[in-house]
Amino acid sequence: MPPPDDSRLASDLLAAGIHEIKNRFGLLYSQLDQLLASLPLSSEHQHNVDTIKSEAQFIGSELMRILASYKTLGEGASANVDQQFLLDFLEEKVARHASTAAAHNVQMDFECDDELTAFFDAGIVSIVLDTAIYNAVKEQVKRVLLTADRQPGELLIAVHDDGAGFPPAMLEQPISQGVVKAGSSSTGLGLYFAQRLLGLQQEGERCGQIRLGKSDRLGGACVTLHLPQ
Amino acid sequence: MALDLIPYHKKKVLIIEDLAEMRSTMKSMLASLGVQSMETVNNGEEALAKLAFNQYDIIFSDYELGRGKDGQQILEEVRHSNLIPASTVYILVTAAQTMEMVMGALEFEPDGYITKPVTLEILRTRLNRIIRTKDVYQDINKAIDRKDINGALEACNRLAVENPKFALPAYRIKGKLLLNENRIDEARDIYDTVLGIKRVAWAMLGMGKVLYLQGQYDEAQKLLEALANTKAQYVEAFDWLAKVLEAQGKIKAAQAVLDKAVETSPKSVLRQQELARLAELNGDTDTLYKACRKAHSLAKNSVFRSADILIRYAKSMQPKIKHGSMRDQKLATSEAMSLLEQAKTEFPLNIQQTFKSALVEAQTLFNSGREVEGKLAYRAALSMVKDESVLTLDDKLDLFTVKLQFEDEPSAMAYGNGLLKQFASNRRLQTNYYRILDFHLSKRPAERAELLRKRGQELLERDEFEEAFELLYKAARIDVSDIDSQLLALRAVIGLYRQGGRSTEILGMANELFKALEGMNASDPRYPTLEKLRLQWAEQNSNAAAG
Repeated sequence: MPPPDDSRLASDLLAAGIHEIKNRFGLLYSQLDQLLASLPLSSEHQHNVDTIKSEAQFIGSELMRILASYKTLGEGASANVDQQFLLDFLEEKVARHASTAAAHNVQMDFECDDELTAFFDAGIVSIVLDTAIYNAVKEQVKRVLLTADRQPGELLIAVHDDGAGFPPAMLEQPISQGVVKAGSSSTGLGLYFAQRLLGLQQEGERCGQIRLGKSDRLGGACVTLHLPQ
Repeated sequence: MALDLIPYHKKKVLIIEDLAEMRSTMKSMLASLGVQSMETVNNGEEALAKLAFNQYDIIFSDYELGRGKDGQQILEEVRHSNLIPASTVYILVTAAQTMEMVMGALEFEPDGYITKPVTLEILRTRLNRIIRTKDVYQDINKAIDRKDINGALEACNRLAVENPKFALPAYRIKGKLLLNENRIDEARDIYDTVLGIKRVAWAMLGMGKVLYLQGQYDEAQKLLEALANTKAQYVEAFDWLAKVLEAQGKIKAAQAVLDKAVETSPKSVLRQQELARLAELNGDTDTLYKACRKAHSLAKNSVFRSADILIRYAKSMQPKIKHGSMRDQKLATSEAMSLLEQAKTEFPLNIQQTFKSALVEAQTLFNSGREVEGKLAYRAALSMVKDESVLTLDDKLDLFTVKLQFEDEPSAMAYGNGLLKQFASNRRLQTNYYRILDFHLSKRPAERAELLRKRGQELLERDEFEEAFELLYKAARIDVSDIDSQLLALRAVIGLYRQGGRSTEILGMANELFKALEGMNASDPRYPTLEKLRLQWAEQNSNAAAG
């Protein structure tokens, strides 16, 4: 008789803990937000406030992303593929990151054809894009550009930035657990899980995947999501 | 896309928001977009009152509204009672942190979401987009508001042809309209077409409904189970799966499905009411009480109050009234009586409801120690029903419960036995019948153990191992020297393991039974049976270890 699945129990415990922290943190943040909004502040203090808000949003989004990834990977559930309008999807993505981008002086835009539609799981793709966007913001880039293009048999969504780009070694090997950029504060786990998540997005035999490259638009890093259609 | 200016100065806006600062921020941002007519309310009750008498073009509703209804509950009621026309733009404002949770729980979709913190830039971008998209559907929505369903269907067709980007959304609306109109075959055509293109969640759900309505339960079950296993945000899939299971007579499974749905989305009053109804059918008093309490509090000041839930809630309090602490007992008794009173005064009750309410009243009186009054109420209830054929078998089981309290046992049992024959092979009703008797005999252990053993054995013969084990284990616990029950319980557990029903809890119980039997003398005529069970048990467990 095998023992009860302790590792599953442990990760459930962690997830429940994170869930609670996330909710409490959300409450804390909204209280803080209201409090700060009601105070008359000097411009210097206003800058502190912006930093606090942006860091708080970072934490909140990170917790949410971890939870969403955990749920998505753990449930064994299949992707919820639905038709998406890329214009709306990317516009909302940019709007959701607007305050973080502003706080870090990042100019964020998107480009896509008005009529472009595609089938994918908006929840999964959203988490993956958030990961790529946060990575870029953490690298202190000045510009981020989201693009979407239809190619035969697949949809490409790319996150471009004008930062230092990926080191060549990282571009040559498949994304694996713990690959890091030299001198980066990032753990590399983000992209690894993002890749795993995107694998859930299937069309027949083909799975969604992430490719890293150099941005032909902004000269920095480019993370491209390949979504089979 | 032509970026025509949206005439915000002509739009009438309602803002539902509990925080004063947030209200004024929203107002000043909307004013800078050109909106001139704005009204604000700070809770759901006021919002619903306003919506009942006024029309708005755009509604912003915060999700977190402090005490009282939240944004989801307002939307549920708004859609359920058709408080706003199809052409009104309904926007839910949520904190980014709660967004995923909110979207997961919503079956009534708003036209769009805006996440907090809302800046002018975000508001402008999102609102423009949401209104422009809404405009695409305006011919459809206008026809729906005119109640011109054929016109709306034609408008869907036109949209699909003229603007291929919106073909699938147009089909989606069409399918919904057709289902509402009970035009099932036509709806099926739509979902067939869409599923031929892509297995999108809404089309799977639509097809699931079609199959249910056409009585193809096996197919419906398969499809809805597949849907429930995707990351789709349709809690509604669980609701329909529960309906399908119930239609197949799998009431226990139906309840399990709703239990899960309620976990995901605990604030839907309709779902809590459904759960309470199924728990009552299953005789699950614990869930019955919890779901009733939740449904009752969610239905406060809403159109969802119903006589059924009031009566059911009063019924669910009986164990508390009978066995609770003095204080609990007192509180539950007065609450139950007041619920029954409310049911009578607020709703026109039909004969079944009147009867049921009278029975619950009699039980409440009896269980709280007012036996004479209870008996009078019981007589009054009986006199209401001249012809028992108006009662369902479930109603009759309720009557049996009360008869055991108020009549002499032989005549109550005679009624029960007659009832049991009417149940034919309905397992659920049989289970409830035995549960009532089990409860009735709680102070008479010997008879209780015998009842459990007899029923357990019956179930064992029919390979119903799980329920058999539950009863036989209980029997074995009541009388620890009852070797026959212990052996039967072990037979049940081995059967259960063979069917794949394993759990650590059951494993522990089985080991405990073997331990109790360790002292059996080898000369006991039942010893070979025990040896055989030991072998079979060892075999099951080595299989488990290998697997």
